[in-house]
Amino acid sequence: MAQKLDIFRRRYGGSPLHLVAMVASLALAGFAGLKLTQSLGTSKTTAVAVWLIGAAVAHDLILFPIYTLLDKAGTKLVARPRRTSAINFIRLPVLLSGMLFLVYVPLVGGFSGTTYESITGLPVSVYFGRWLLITGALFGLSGALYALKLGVSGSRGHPSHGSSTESS
Amino acid sequence: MLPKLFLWPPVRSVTQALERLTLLLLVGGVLFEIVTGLLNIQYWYAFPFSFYTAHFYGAWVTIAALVAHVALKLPHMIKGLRSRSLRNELRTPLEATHPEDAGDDELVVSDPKPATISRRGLLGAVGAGSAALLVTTVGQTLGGPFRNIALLAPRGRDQGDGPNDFPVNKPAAYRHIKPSQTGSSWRLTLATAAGSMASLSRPQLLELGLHTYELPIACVEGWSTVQTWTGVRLRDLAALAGEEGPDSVLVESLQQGGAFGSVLLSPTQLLDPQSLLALKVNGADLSPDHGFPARVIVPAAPGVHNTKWVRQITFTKS
Repeated sequence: MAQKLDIFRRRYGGSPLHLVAMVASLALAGFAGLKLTQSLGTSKTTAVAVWLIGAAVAHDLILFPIYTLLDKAGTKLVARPRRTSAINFIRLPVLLSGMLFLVYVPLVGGFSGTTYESITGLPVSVYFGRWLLITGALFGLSGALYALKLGVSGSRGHPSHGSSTESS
Repeated sequence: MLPKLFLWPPVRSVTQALERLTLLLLVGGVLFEIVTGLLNIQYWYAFPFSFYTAHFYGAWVTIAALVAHVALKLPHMIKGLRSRSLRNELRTPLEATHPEDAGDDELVVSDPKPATISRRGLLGAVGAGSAALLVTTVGQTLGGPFRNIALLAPRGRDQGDGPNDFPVNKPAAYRHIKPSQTGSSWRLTLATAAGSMASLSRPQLLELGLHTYELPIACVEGWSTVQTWTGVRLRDLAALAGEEGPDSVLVESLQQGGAFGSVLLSPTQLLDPQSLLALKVNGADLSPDHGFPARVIVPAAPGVHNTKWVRQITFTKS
């Protein structure tokens, strides 16, 4: 028995449980796809598949390289001795503001435009201004915290007060 | 984990091929659900398919991939979490942050650059992201003064003043409700499967036994509001129609368009003493946008099942 299991592992590359989990997962996904085709038809199901697979591909091959390169450029820009952590005071507001933009892009970018306005009777244009204000507040707060930190570590890092590498 | 995505050759065994396929469904499914959901609640209908159907079956694909992935990776996850103490990590600044020991773990990067953020910093950044979304959205659900802090949420807006100042899902004009349909000529038709019909005007309804309850409208698009509603119990209307124990209740609206112009309620929803055909809210007549002359309010039903501008209620028995 143990020998048979070894042969299976060698041929398949994982435990039998692994194969069971994978097949169960793919079978359920296939069943959902079948039900979807029954209610939406082939062409719309293809559109759903394109959106679903496209979302993963767009994230991994477009969005991921973009934010990796931006982060590398940013890190290089502020890379000076003793200032490694300065990058995080830029990263955090960029992360929060960028995430809020992505989540609310239909409203902030005005893409919902006429539909939103006819449903709510309210203008969609306020959202871009609100997002700018939030972004400004985030960067302002982060800048203030960084200045505070520089002040603290500056006084700590004074020659007569020990080493500057103590700062966190 | 992302560097593993770009390994070459992309497939080296059957195991890996299957795993990568389910991972594609996992990542794609999660993004699909989030993206279509966010587009839908903000009314940007950029997708060429029915939201409800695609979102529903997309959820099954995501759940299938997620359960399989968690089942496979749980031992790995537990091992990783146990390898470090949270309390120690929360006390470790950037200067003392060191990369993971490579060991025999294939997920650990073999030759990492020096750390630019501490582990507690990364945890904090994720927490800050969640907090930012919570603060800009939760007012939609809490309502009251909190609605003003939901700065970016689609339903964080001020609808004006007075007893009818709470969010409107779709206004009367959007559903082509004309004032001539809801004026003094409006009648509520009560029908039964046996064929009996009764017709009531709004003043006649107001003379029936009225009840007042504080009940929520909870929209599946992520906003909710609790208001004080006054109206006739649905079960009293059933008795009036001569149908004491119906199997289902069909509520039909004057509205044009939309998937919820007619809604089927269950017998338990009908029998709940708090299920109302509401005529007033917060002591005032319903506004046209909130469903004047009459709307359904049923406890714990999705918002879209609280039909507005009701014209007919049919009680059926099989």
